Amino acid sequence: MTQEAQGMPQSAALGPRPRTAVARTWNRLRGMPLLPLAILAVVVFAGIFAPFIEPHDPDHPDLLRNLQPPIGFGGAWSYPFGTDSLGRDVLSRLIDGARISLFVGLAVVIGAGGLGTLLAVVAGYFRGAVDVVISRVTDVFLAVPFLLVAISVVGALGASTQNLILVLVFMTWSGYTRVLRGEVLRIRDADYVKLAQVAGCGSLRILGRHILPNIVNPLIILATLQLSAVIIIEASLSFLGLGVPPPQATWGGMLSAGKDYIGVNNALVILPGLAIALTCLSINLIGDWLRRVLDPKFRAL
Amino acid sequence: MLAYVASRLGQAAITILGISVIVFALARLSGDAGALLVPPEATPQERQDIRDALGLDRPLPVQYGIFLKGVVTGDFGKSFRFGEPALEVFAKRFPNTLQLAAVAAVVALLGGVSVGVLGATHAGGMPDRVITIIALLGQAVPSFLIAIFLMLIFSVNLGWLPTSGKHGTLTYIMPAVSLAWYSMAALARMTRSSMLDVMETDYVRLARLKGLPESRVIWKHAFRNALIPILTLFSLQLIFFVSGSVIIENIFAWPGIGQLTVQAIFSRDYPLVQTIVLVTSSFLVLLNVGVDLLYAFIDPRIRLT
Amino acid sequence: MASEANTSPLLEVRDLHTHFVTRSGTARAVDGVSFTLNRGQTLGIVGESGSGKSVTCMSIVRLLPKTASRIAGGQVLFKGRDLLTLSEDEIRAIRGAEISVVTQDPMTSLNPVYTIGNQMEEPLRYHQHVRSGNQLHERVVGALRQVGIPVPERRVRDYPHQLSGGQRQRVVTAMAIECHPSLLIADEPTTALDVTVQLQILRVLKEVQQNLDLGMILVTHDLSVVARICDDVAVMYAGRIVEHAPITEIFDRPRHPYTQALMLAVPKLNASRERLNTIPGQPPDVRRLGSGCPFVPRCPKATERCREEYPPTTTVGESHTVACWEATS
Repeated sequence: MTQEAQGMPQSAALGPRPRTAVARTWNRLRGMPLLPLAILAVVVFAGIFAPFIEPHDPDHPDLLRNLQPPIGFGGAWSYPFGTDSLGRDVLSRLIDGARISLFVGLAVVIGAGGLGTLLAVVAGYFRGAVDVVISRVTDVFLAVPFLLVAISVVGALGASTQNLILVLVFMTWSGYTRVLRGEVLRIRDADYVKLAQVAGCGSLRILGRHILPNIVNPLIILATLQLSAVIIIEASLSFLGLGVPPPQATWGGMLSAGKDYIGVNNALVILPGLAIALTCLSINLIGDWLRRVLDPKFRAL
Repeated sequence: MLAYVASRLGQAAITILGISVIVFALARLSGDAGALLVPPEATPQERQDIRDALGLDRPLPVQYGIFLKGVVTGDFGKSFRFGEPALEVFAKRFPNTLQLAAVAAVVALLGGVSVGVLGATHAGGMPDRVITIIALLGQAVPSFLIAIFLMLIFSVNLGWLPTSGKHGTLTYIMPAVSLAWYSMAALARMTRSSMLDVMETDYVRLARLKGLPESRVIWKHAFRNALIPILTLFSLQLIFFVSGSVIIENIFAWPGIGQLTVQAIFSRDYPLVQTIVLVTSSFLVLLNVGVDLLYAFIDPRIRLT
Repeated sequence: MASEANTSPLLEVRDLHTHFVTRSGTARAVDGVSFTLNRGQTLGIVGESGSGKSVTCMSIVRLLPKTASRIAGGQVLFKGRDLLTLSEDEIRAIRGAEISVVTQDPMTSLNPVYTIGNQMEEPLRYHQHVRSGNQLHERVVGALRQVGIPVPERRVRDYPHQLSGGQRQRVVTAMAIECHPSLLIADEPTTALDVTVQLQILRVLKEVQQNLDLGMILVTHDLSVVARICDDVAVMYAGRIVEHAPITEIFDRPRHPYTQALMLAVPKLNASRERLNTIPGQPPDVRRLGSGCPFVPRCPKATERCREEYPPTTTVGESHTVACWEATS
C-alpha cells in the first residue's frame, strides 16, 4: 500500500517545478529557520564587533552603581540590562560573553572536527592495523565520562581559555571519528571509487575528489551539533569556575555570580540564561534544518 | 552467546586500560607530576619518598607500570585533603551519586520514552508539536540553568522544595529532574523518530492486517523494534548521568563524587581526582557492557553475530 | 471456472473512490471501482504500479495511511455488510479473521524480534480466543503444515531471519489462513521472490484457496501470474478498471488497447525475440486527470473523442466488460 501511495510517477511526485527565479527562491526560503538565523546573526555580530558596540567596559566595576535593575524594572537607559554585584554593565558583559562563547565554540569545533575527520579518513581509507588502533582509541574516548575528565584536566593544568580549548578538543574528536569512519568505509566500497582505483587514480586523488566531498555533509551536521554542545559545556565549566577565568565575562560565569543574587536581582540569572538558551536553540534549529536539507539519513543522529 | 559475552568483556578491559593511560598521562601533562601528586605541605624527605614510590624520576613506562600495579591492587594513594586512602574517600561518596543518577535515569527514560511514543502516535498533531518544542528546549538549555530556575521557582518563590543536601525524598526531586532534563529531551526525540520509522515497516502493517488492537501493535510490534536505537542513546547517556552530576551536585550540595571532584580539584588533591576519574570511568564501561548484553536479549539477530 | 451458482456474492465493491491528499492536489488513486467476488473464486487485479490496485485492496480492509488518505465514496459489501460503515473495532474483528492479507515482501513482513510461533499465535488469541498453549501450538503447526513447511514443530521456535524468503512467504500465508477466513487478499505475493520460489508460492496459494473454498483477490503487475491461478481478471489503469473478463476471454480477446499492450509485454519463453516489449510512455499523474481517457497519451488508437470524454463501461461478451470508445463503437 505504501508503495502504491507513493506510486505516482516520479516526475509528478516531485511536484511542479517553480517557473520563476522568485518562486524558486521562495521555495528555498520557506523551509529555512529565519528566526534562528536572525538570532544567531545578532550573536555573531555582537561577538565579532564586541569592543565597538559595548556601551561600557565590561570588566570595569563601579560599586556605587551595583545591582541596578534593567529598564522596565526601574532601571535607567545608561545601563539597559542593569548592573551586576560589582556594578559592571550587564549588557556589555553579555556581548563580551558572546565573543568568548563563539570563540571557544568555533575553536573546539574546528580543532576536534579536523582531528576527528583526519583520523576517520585514515582509519576508513587505509583500514588494517591503523583502523583497528584508531577505532579502539576512539572507543576509549567515547567511553570516558568526558565532563569529569575535562574538569580534572583543567584542574591539573590550571584554568585558562587556551587549556579549556585544548582539553575540549582532546576529549571530543572521537564523536567525529566514530560517525565519519563509517561513512568513509561505505564510500570507499562504492563502485565509483573502485572504478577510480582501476583507472589508476592515486590515494590522494581519490581522497580529495571522491571521499572528502562526500563526507562534508555529515561533517557539517556534526559540527553544528557540537557547536551548541560546546557552548553549553563552556558555560557549565565557567559556571563551576573551571572554564574561562574571571574577570573575563562569560555567560556561565555571569550565571554563577548571579545565582547568589536570586531574589535580589533575578535579571542576573535570567539574562545570561536566555542568552545561552536562545543561542543554542537557534544553532540546534539551524542544525535540524541542515540535516533535513543535506542528509535525511542523519535525522536520528 | 558465551563467546559474545567474553568478547565484550575483553573489549571493556582494553577500554579501561586505555582510560588508565589517559588518567596516568593527565598528571604528567602539566610537566611536573610531583607537583600534583605530592602533598604541598610535605617535608623534603617525605617528598623524595613519594617521588621514589611513584618512580617519578624513572622513565615513563616504568612510572606507568608502578601506577598500574597500584590500580590493580586497589592502592590509589592517599587523599591529601582527607588523609585517608583515596579509594575509601571515593567509596563513601559514590553511592550517593549512583542513587541520584539512577533516579534521574529512570525519570529520563520513562519521561522521554512515553513522551516520544505519544509524539509518534500523534505525529503532526497538537501533542506532537508541544513535545517537539519541549525536546528542543531540553537540548538547548543547559542542566545547570534548569537547576537554577527550578530553585528559583520551587524553593525561593514557592518554598515547596529544599534547596540543598540529601535528606529524604523531597531533596531528590530538583537534582534528579535537572540531571534528567537533557537526556529526557534527547530520548524523546530519538523515541519519536525511531517509532515513526518502525511504524512504517511492513511487519507493523501486517500486525494491523492481522486485526490486532492498536495498543498491541504499538507496544508489542513497534516499540520493541524501536527500542534498539533508544537503548543505544540511553547507554551513551548513562555517562552523562554520572558526568553531569559534577555540575548538579555542586548546585544542590549533593554529597556525591561530583561535589567531591570539584572539591578535590580546588584543594589540588590530585590522587583523589585520579581515583574518581578512573574508577567512575571503569564503572561506566562495565555498565555499557551490561547494556550490550541487554541488546542481545532484545534483538535475536545480534545473538548470532 | 468460477462457481457462479451461489446466491449473494462474498464481496461486492460498488463505485469505490479513494483519495490521497498531497500538497500539490488530491490524487484520485481509486476512482470508481466496482466488482464482485464469490466464494471459491479468484480474481486477479492487474496494473502498473500507481494504477490503484493495492489501494483498492487496502480500502477493502480500511488500512490506508491515516493522515493522507480517505475513502471518498462507494460501498464494500462483505457478506452483505458494508465494511465502510463499520466502527474501528468491528472492522478490526474482521481483519485477519474473515478477511486476511498476504503481503508483498516476506523479508520485511515478519517482525524480526519475535519467533514464528509467537507471531502466528496472535490472530488465534485475538480473534478466536484460543488460550491453551497446546491448542495454540497445534493450530499453528497445522497451518504451517498446510502451506508445506517441513518440520513445522521446529520452525515455530525459529526467528524470521533463520528462514528463507520462500519459507517466510509460506509463514505469512499460513498466518493469513489460520483463522479460516473466507476472503484472502494476496498483494503481489510473489514479486519479491525468485522465479522458482514464485511458482511454489502460487501453487500454495491455489491449494489453500481450493481446499478452504476461499474467495481470493490476487494483485499483481504480472499477467503470467494471473494466468496460473485466476478465474477472472480486472485490469486497472489510473484508478479505474478498464477491462474485466474471465481469464480465457481476456487472453483470447483483449479489447482494451492497454490490456493488449500488457499482453505484448508478457515475456514469452518460446519467443524468438529477446527484447522485452514494454508499453511506451509513462503512467499518468492521478492528481491531474482530465475528463478524457487517461490512457490517451500512450494509446495508438486514440481519437478526439477519447481526449474529451471518459468511455462508459460496456459489455462486449459474456461477463466481459471494457471501458474504451474503440471497443464500444
